[in-house]
Amino acid sequence: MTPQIIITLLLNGLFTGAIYGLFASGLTFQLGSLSIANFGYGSWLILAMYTTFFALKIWNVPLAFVVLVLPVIYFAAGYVIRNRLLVGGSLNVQILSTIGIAMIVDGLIILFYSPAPRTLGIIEPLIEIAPGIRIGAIRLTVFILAAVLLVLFQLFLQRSHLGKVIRAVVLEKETAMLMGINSERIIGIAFGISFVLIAISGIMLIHLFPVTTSAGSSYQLMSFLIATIAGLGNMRGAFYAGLAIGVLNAFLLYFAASFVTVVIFSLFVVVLILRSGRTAGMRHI
Amino acid sequence: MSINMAKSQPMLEVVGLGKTFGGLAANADVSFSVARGSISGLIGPNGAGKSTLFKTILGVHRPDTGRIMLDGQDITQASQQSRCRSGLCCTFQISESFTEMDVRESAMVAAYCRTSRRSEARSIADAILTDLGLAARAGRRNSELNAFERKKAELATALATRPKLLLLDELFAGCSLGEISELIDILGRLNQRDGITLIIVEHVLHVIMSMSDQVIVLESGRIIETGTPEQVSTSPAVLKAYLGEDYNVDEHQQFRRPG
Amino acid sequence: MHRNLARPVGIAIIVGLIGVLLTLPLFPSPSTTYFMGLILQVMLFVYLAQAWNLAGGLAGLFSLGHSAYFGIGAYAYAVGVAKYGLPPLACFAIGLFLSAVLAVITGLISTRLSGMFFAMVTLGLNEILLNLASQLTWLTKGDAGTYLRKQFTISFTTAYWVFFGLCIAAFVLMALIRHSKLGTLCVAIKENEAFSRAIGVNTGLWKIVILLISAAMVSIGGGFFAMYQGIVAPTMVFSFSISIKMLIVTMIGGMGTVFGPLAGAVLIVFDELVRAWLGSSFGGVSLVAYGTILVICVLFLPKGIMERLRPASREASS
Repeated sequence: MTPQIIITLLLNGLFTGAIYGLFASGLTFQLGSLSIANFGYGSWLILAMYTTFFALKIWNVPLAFVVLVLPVIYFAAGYVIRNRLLVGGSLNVQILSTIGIAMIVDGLIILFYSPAPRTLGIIEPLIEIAPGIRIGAIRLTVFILAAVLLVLFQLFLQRSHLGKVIRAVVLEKETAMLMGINSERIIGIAFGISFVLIAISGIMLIHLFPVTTSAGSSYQLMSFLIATIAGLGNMRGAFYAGLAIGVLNAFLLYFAASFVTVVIFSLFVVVLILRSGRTAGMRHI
Repeated sequence: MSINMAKSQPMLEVVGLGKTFGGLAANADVSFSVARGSISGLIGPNGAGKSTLFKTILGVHRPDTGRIMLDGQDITQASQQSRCRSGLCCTFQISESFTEMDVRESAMVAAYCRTSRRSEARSIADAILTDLGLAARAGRRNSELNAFERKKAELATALATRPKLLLLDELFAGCSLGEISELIDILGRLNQRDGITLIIVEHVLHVIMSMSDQVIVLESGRIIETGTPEQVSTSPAVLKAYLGEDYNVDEHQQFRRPG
Repeated sequence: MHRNLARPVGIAIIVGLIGVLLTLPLFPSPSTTYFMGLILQVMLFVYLAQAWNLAGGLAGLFSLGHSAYFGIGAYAYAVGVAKYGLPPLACFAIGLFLSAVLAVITGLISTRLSGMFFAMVTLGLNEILLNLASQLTWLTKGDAGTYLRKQFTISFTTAYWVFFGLCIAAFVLMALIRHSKLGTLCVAIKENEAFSRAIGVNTGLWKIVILLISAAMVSIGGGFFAMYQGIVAPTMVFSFSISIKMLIVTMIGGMGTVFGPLAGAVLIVFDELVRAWLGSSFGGVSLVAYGTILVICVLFLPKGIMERLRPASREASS
């Protein structure tokens, strides 16, 4: 194996990892900051992927339209789920209702989009950045977009008025309510925003990978893995952990393609056990 | 009580106990001993480290320094369940126990640390429930009881482990005067009749002062005073801790009514 | 229904049910065969749900990966007889042993992780086994699945009686455990683990014990499932939908109650009827229906059907 291959794997892994980081940061925001265990995360992600596929390929809708409309729908879905179904529920209630919603989503995917695997079938143009080292143009774009989005999201939380209110509610819900903030509504909005991240991740992912109905649980566990490595609630950490998992994934695919999932999920179990003390009850933003 | 102390080793002996959370010393160099068959009160302002000390003795936290001896046996490294089998038990504050389980079964859970036979566990539980006047409530869920009954149910659960030393965490909080006197009766009976040594962590000071043989005062994680209720209530260090730096003991004495 | 009638009516229903199940096979006809098929499916899931109920309902071990034990049992039997020519009993023993190993690992994990982290780990463990089953082709024949020759399978009627027996055994076991030391301690652990520890319960030990029993039951179920189906493929057994059905059936009936899984069986009946009615578009509809039922149950019936039937007052009489 040549240095060129190593560098190619490394770069492609990093670029793919950025998108893992993006969708994992949505999950980590839900779990760590909003204390909502969303077991339907993966299903919503593949729903976004399927919908984008159908919009672009079957309904012939321009990409710009999808990018504008899908996140808005997702925001509404997130808000309704939080404030109609999950409000005031215990952890078991959250787990069960989000699983229930995920099953409905999976069922609707099968009913309306059929369970067949879908791919946009884009032949990714390669950019030769050095002799023998080629990187995918879409991956590079996705990497840049994901990084920019996360920075924007951080800025939004740090600087904007709504972002500040969200942080206030996350850190001190009762106090925020005493200050006249409608905490429940704010958490609903924040949950909606995390759904926007899912929608955008889905739109990006379908440009890189095919989607199947079973992919949801893989993405779900993957984002849980990344979130726990980074520490729940730590979004910047989730981005870096996503990059690391992306690189690991790229090398595993090259050397032991059949056992990628086994290795990654074993890592997941080990990480969860080792970090258990630090993940419990953490609250970040 | 002083006779007991002379002829046997203490029920609980804590030596140089220290516990630090993230650089903040919750307990530092805490040493005291509790005589067999005595009642001790543990008091201190909020944040004095009472609950840390309580949890360290129970084995929820492991101490950074120091030793804990229960009835002559070193339990510093013992697990919670083996401490319980050695005769150390506690009541938590309310709502930290069971809710959906019925009262009898809750007590049976505790009794199972002494026996593995169901019938025996059941008779231990029933005897204690009868003793505490809860026999009529045995089939009820804990959540269906009123606050005072829940307290007694929880006390019954702790007693079902057949403790030698019982730690009571704010048992009297939220009780009416009548309920307090009923609890005092029960605790006195447990102490006198069954010889259970008690440590009471409490905010209701007059209860502590009237019941305890010994009062231990914690402040900022350290013991600032140990003594009889009379000694403690006149100690300048204790008054300062409770009433603030500016408080002048002599001033207080001036306004005291004569007689 | 008047609440004091709940008990005699319940007993009457159960006796009647057992009577119907016992007599149905005596009248062979196409329609009884259809009903027996339906009942077999129901019994399979009631049995599995009861096994889940032991760990998840009694002890609060919220496992989302119980199909792992099901798959281990099924594969131990299928691979054992088809590839290595082992006697069936030895295959069951191997399945039980492997399930026990996984149960001990899971139990140890449960002493460090709780709630959603435990749920996620169990989900992850099942996913690992699913992938191993489809990748270790030399052992499992991969996604194509391991077929069993005729002499290693059991007929439909035998399967009916096997699962009938397993169900009865599961309910008896559950009733015995619920009213034993183990049951009491498990409920205590579910209700408040920290408090249980403080009153002398060795929580780690009992969680492992109850998981071992639960895993053994699911594993045996998996072995008989393989026998009856004649083929074992990865997604057939290591499937999230099996794990989630165990959970939902228990939940609808009432977690931790002896007859919860029986009450929850209405769901499987409903599911099978929808399957017969809809045919090919069934997959999606079934998922939507299950999801909707789950959400509705969580919202309106969080403690299950059995809670509604619970006598309001049990004092004095007991």
